[in-house]
Amino acid sequence: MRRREFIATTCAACFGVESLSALLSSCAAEDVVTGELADGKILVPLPLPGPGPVHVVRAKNYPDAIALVRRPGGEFQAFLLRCTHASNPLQVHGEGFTCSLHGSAFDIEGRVTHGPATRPLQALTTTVTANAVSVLVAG
Amino acid sequence: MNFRIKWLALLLFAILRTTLPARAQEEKTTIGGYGNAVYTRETQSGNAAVDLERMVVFIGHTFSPAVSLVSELELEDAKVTGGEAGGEIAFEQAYIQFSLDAGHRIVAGLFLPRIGILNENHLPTSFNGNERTQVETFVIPSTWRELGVGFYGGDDIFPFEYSIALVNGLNSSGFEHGSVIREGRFEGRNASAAALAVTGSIAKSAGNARVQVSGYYGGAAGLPPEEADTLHLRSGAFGTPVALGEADVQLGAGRLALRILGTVVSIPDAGMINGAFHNNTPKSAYGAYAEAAYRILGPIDGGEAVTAFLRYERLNMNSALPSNGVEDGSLDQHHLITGISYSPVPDVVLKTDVRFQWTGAPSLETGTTGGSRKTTYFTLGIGFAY
Repeated sequence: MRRREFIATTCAACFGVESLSALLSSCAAEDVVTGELADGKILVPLPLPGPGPVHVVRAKNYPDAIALVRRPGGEFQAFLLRCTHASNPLQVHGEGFTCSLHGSAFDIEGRVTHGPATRPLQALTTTVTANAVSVLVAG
Repeated sequence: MNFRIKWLALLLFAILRTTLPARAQEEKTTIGGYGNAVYTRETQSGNAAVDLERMVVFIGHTFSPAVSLVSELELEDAKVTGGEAGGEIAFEQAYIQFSLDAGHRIVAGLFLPRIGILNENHLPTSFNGNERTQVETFVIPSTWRELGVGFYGGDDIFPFEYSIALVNGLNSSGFEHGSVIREGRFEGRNASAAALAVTGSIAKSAGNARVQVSGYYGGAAGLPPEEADTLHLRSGAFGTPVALGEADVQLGAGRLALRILGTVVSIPDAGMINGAFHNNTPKSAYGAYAEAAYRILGPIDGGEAVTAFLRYERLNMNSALPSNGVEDGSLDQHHLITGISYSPVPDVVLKTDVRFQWTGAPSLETGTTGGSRKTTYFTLGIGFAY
């Protein structure tokens, strides 16, 4: 296979995957929101975008992403998206979170669904006010 | 040159000083590992072997929430004895990871670039069957680790997981007939930095689906210009290049899990490599597989479980050859693998499977005669991770 053919084949593959990704985006299960870090808390404005139960919160000057899970009745649960096995960052995948380093997986309750992790995700205290969810990240 | 390196180091230090989040020290050391043993019987010849294939010790250390060490030390085949074949002790990974923020991180050291499915995530509890896939062993040479610097990200501006890395290139003098580029990996040992490579990936997850495309482009001469000229190889960072492209899809639907992967390797200067090293390097190779696994018993998420799988693999390790190459039909292969696994607890697995292999006609010139074109392998093994 010549270089030109290789590039053409790779571009065609990228186009195919890009199209598939666009299709997948339409049924995405998580939304990313930006929070504000202040006084050891990350403030996430309400209402949250999208109907999904899982939102990934990122805040400037905070090294980890946080999963904010909306429960029926308007309550929120928050988890640090860091693997409890080797402290690697987690990605949202399907109905939960996965680690690319060793394959550990967690459900949206923070429970281990696939090892080698054995401990559940670190839960963070949340407080809901009229226009924001506050996630305690230090303390 | 030295001034340039110092300047780059100062710049990197300044960036990290300004971007790394300041938080109280929370140092922590983690120990883990994985391993597997397998019995293999080739039914046609009656040959059988049993081997503790690997034991890996993982040691991680969190220096701060933003800076951590990841390392994996592997012993293959249980024992290393001077002068005897087999057995290997090697670092599979050893790198420092810097979290820039919640969506971006830099890794530096010996790491596994995100290429394919198994290269990053290769624990025996994570793949079906006792053997890793043929395609991700011989076409994508997993576990493929090299020294370098990588950047991983995912954010709302560019809504994909992505990675890009600069690593040392390959050693084309190590290429061997029958394994494409596999034996050209430096794996962190006295690697030549005269050749460099760029790898990258983008991936998108939605629902229970994940789609990924990844690629690699790098030099494989790794020699000073004069030496390369003497051997009629192209020198320079990306001289005598190797390119690899890959795409895969992983889907989960209740008890069913599907994996599909395709990959192509291109070595446009294979003729020059053969001229220099006489190792019958192909101009291209390809591989693809599709796998379906079904959890027959046990809960979907963790717990005691029984899983059955069926996988078909197609690969050709000499799909195109330069004029000085010799075609070997035994490298044109089909594999059908089916098996079952039982996990008494989530991180321990007992596996049994059978692999049917069909190949093209062996070549007299490459010394692969005598092998059967149809071979059946039966395996029984155990794997664990902690």
